[in-house]
Amino acid sequence: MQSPGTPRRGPGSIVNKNVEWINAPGAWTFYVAIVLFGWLVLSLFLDGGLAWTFVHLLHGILTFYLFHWKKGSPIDMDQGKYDKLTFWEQLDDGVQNTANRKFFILIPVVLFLLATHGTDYRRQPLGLNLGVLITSIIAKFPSMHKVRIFGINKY
Amino acid sequence: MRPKPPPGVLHLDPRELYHTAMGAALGFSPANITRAVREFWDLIGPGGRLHPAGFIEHKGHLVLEGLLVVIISYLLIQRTYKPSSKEAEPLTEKEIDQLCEEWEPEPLYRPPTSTEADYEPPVISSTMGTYVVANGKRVLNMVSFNFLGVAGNDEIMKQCRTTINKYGVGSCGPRGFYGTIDVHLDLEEKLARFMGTEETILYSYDLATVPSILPAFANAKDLIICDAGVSYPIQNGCHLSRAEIRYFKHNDMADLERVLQAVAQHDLHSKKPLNRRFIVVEGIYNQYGDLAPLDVIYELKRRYKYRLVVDESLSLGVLGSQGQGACEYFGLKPGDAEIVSASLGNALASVGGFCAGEREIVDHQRLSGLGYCFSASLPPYLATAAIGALDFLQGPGAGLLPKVTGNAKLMRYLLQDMPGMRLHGGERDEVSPVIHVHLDPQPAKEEDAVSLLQQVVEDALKRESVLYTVNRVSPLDKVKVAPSIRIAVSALHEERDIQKAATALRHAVKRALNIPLKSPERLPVGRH
Repeated sequence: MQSPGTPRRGPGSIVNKNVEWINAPGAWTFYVAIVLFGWLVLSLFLDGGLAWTFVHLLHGILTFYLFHWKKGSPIDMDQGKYDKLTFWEQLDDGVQNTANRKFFILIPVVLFLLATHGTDYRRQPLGLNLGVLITSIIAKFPSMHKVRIFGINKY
Repeated sequence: MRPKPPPGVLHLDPRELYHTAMGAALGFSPANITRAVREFWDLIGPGGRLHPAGFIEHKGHLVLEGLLVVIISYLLIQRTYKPSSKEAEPLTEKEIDQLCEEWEPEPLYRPPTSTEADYEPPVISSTMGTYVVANGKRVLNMVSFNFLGVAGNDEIMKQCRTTINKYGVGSCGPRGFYGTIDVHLDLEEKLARFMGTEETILYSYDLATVPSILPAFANAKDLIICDAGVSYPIQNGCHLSRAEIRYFKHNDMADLERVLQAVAQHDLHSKKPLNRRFIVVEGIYNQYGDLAPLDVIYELKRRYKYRLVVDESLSLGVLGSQGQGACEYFGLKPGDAEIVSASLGNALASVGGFCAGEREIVDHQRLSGLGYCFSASLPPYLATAAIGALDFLQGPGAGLLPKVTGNAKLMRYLLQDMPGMRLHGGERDEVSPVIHVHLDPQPAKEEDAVSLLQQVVEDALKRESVLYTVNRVSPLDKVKVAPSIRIAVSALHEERDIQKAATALRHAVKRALNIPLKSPERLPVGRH
C-alpha cells in the first residue's frame, strides 16, 4: 500500500528524510500493524474492548509528542532548516490535506470509535477518550499549521 | 463519606482534583504514581464522578458520532494545498523555454572604473626583500607583510628543497584522506607549543581558515558579535555560519558594551534556549592597521559570557614578547581567547592558516572544519617552510620583534601631521606595523580619492624609488573603508630606510596635491 497523492516535487528539491519514510511502500500498513500489535499485547491483560481505550490513549499521547511537540529533525544534513517545525508540519513539505494527513487524522477517529463501541460506551472513560481525540484532531487542522496557541512549545 | 452525586451530573470538587494532581506531581515513587493513576481513573472512568454516564444513557454518543462525521468529512473532502507556496503547479515546457530566452546573465564583475582600467601594476622581477626590483629599478619595499624577513631565508629554502625531494610538491588529498604527512603533524605540534595551547589545526589557505572555523561552531541559532571593520574572510565566515550577526562600531568599546547589553536585555524577555555566542575581532585590523583593545574586550566577554575569537593573522610574529600575537601583547593567557586563528602567510612567510585552542575546540574542527575536511592539505614543503619560520621566530627571530614594533613606531611618528594626509590610529596602535594613511580632507567621490592615491603611489615609485600600494578592497567586502595607502614596515628596514620612505611619501603627496615642496613643516629626525 503506497500513499497516493504525494505532492509533486520539482527536480532537485530537497527531500526531508525525517518524514520521507512515510511515503515508502507499506508504511501505512506498517503503522496499522503496529497499532494492531499494541492492541494484541494489551488485550492479553485486559478485556478486548477496554484494550482499545488504552491503545487509543497511548496512541494519542505518543503521537501528540512525536507529531506535534518534538521539533526538528535528527538528520544533520538539513542544516537546521526544520528546527522550528514539528513532524506534522514537516510532513509532505507542509502541504495540507494530503493522503498522508488524512490517514493520520482517520487513525485516532477509528481508534476512538473502537474504544467507545468496543465497550458499549459504558465501560470506558468517555471524557478522557474524547479529550485525547479532540486534542489530536485539532492539532492536525490545516489552520493550526505553524500555530502555537498561547506560545505553548514556541521555542 | 460524602453523598454520591446523582448520575449524569458533573460534580467537581476542586480539592479532590488538586489532591489527585498533586499526588502525581509530588511523590514520584511507583506506589504513589500507581495510586494517582488509580484515583484519576476512578474519577474519570466508568462510575467515576466525571464519567458522563447520563449522557451515554440518553444516547448522547449519537450526537458525538454525528459531530465526528461532520468534522471528518469536512477534512476529507478538502483539496490538497500548500499554505505558503504560490506556484504549486510546475512550469510548462513553454514557460521554461521562455524564461531561458529572457534570461540575461549578470556580469560576473562590475565594469572597471577609469582608475582601475588605467592601472598598470609594477612588475617585480626579484625575490622579496627590503629592496626589490620593480619595473627594472631597485626600489625600497614598503608593501610586504614579511615582517620578520623570513621570506627568502636560505636555510628555510634548503629545508623546503629536501621536503620536495622526499614528498614531491603536492599532498594529493585532504588531511583525513591520505593527505597527512609527518611535516603537517610536526607543524601542528610546534604551533601548539608556540601558541601555548593544547592543539592546533592546520588549514591549507588562510582566506578559508576563519570561514571554516566560524561555521564549525556557530549555526543559525547562535549569535556572533563582530567588529564592523573586520576583513573579508571574517565577514565571509560570519555570513556562512548563518548565525545572527550584530556589528559594533569599529574598535568602539562603548558600542560593544551597548550591543552586549541590548542582547542581555533581550534575553530577559525572550525565553529562548541558551545558544553559543561569540565576539569576533582581529588582533591587527587588515583594513585599518589598528589594534583591538583585547584587554577591554576580554573583560566584557567574561562579564557577558561570550567566547572570544581573535584573528591574529597580522599580529602573529609581530606583537607580544614571544610573538604570539595581540593576545599576548595585551596580557591574555593562552586559552583566554577560546579560538585564535592566524595566517601562516604573513610573518611566517608560508601559505595557509591555523587555529589554536583547547583540544575540544581543535578536534571538533577535524570533522566540522570544511576547509580541513574537503580541501587538499597544505603542500608538505610549505609546512616545512612554516616550521622553519617558526624555528626562526623562536630562535634568532625573537630579537627582531622589538625592531618591528620600533620601526612601526618610528614610521608612525614620521608620518604624523603630514599635510594633506591623515595617519590612522592612536597611541595604542603605534606598535602596529601595518599603517594606513588616508587623504585629509577626504574627496567627496571615492573614485577620486583612489585615483589621487594611485598618483601618489606611482610618483613615489618613479621619482623616489619607494614602492607603496593603495589599499585594495574587493567590491564583495561589506566594510566600506576610506581609500588609503597601505604601508607595511618590517624588521629588515633600517632607520634610514624608514626615513627615506617617509620623506618620499611626504614629497609624493605634496606633488600630487600641489602643496609647495618647501612649505614649512616639522620633519622629525631620529627616534623620539
